[in-house]
Amino acid sequence: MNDKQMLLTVEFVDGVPMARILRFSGDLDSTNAEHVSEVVLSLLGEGVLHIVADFTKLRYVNSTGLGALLFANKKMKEAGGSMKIAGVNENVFEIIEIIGANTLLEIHRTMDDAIATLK
Amino acid sequence: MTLPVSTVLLEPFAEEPTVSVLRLYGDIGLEAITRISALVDDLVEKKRFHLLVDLSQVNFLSSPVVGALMGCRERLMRRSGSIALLAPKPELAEKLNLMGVNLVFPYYSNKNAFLRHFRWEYQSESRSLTLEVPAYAGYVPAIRRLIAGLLLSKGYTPREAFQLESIVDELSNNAIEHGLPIDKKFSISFSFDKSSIHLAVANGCKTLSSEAQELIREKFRNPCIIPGSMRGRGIALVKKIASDMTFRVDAQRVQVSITKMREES
Repeated sequence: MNDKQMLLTVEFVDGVPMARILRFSGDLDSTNAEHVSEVVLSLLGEGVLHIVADFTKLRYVNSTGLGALLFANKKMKEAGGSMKIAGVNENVFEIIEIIGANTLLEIHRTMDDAIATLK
Repeated sequence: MTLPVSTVLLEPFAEEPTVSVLRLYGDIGLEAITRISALVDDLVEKKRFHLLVDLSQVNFLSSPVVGALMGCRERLMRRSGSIALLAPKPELAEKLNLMGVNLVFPYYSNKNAFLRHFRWEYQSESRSLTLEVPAYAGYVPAIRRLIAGLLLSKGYTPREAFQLESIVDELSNNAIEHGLPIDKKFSISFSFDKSSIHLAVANGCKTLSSEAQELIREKFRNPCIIPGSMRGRGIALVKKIASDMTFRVDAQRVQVSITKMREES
């Protein structure tokens, strides 16, 4: 069991009913990546089209976690929506860059920047 | 043996021949400076550049003596040597701290603590850890954090610790998911010193055909990131982060080893 299990909470975005904020905290890795995919599929099932992933409190991500994010990104785009990521720490951003996922994911500096693109 | 109120002695350090011990007793005032300087001159002449100043029997150390020790430090460090303080009494330590001495001289509470630091810092002594881990992803986070914590505790940067955490994670998950560990476990051998880190992750596996072995070798040789693919990025990530990655694929065992050189500070 991952003792610092990633916590994932879902919040509404003021004024954008088809969007949700996904707040990550802790570590996104092989022990919980699948949970992220399930949450995204569930939101899509509810008609959500836009996701803003808040990484401000995400300490760590591995390649499986990034795979889940790419999966989520793909699913949102296929549904005609979008996925945005904000608040990425330096170490996590470096891993995203090395893997080349920065060219596939829409990354914003702050949550305000990301949410502004929805309005 | 009865010692005078103020005594300065130079002795060899039995546990570490390259270190000399300057043993001070009692109240150390101005009159000790000439002797301390002469003893350090003698050490420098004999090309013995590491000094441990034993303060455990000192009641009072005057400011000019502290100044003289600073001068000794300068002379020893110019020759890639070192000087450290051993076991000052709490009242003396408090006074030295107020003078900012703790910012200049490392203190050690006992000889073993000094030796651990000295051998790490000046003799490239390494730390090592070998683990046998159940082949279950749930065990990996604690192990990768343990290894990152060990690196941080020895002065590696948070970035270096994070990158090693990534390598441990990816290689462990690779062994669990793709290594087909026959005995449901894999091993991690980790060692590091002041300048580099070595890690090997290995697992036994069902007998692999020559073709299967070659496929695995090719995956390690040329890990490719397929755009749009959700998986298969771990080995490519490790190869980019590590300074060097080697692998050995036998019929019943797969091992991946990496070296990561420490970043220039």
